[in-house]
Amino acid sequence: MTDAAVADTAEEIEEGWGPLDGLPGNPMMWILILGEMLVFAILLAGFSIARALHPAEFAASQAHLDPLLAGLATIALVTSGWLAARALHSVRRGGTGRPQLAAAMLIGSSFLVLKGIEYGREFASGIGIETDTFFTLYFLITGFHALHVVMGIIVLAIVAWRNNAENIETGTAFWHMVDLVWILIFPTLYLLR
Amino acid sequence: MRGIDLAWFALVALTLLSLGTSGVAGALSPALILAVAAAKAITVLRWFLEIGEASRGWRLLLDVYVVAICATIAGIFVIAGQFAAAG
Repeated sequence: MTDAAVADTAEEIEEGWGPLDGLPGNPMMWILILGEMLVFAILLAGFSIARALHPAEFAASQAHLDPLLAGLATIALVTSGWLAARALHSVRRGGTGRPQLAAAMLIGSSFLVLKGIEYGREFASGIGIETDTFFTLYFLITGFHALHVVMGIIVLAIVAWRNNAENIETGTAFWHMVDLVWILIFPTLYLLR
Repeated sequence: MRGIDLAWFALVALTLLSLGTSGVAGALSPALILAVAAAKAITVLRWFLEIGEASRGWRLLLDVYVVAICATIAGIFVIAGQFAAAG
């Protein structure tokens, strides 16, 4: 294959994502992001339907949750998302983006600490995943999300190491999805009463 | 102050507002809580994810995603509440 043919093939591969090419970051990441957004939408709709079927049980169990602690966790996550966005702005202006990403990871980790405190309180009260339908769904949704937070922090660490603009755009896109999904989980599980 | 800084400030303020609103009784409360959540999610899409720079189709799809989830959750919550009150 000639150099020109190799270049053409590479160009075709680069432009082979169709509509996904129009999104910020690597299109592969967007396949994951869109898939995860769909999964969480189904989980939240399922939770809402289960609550409609068992309103008294859900209201009694929800009373054990601490909305203030979850609110603090929300503020931690949006602050971490803001720092991640600032990292991208920094690298576009010739910076490394590393201080902002390190701060985003640190504050993102505080979300996990708050989640640990919340779970710890529940376990100490004898509440577990098998307590009732509410807590099964609560631990499933929040636990699955917390797993995404862990994955997101790892992704941020990778893009801080390989800190070109495309990598940071891709990594922070995943982190913002984690942020966005929590913004929808927070009112559904903790605030609607 | 840049756009993303204002977006962060708005997200924190809206989180505090939704915490305050959750204690308010009445039929408007769930709609307000979920409207605030939708506003926050769209703020993240616009300012952090920079979806405003994507094509119109993607902007529309992601906005519809947020609004559809919030409307579905609010709708189920309100309808279930009315059934419970009637029963």
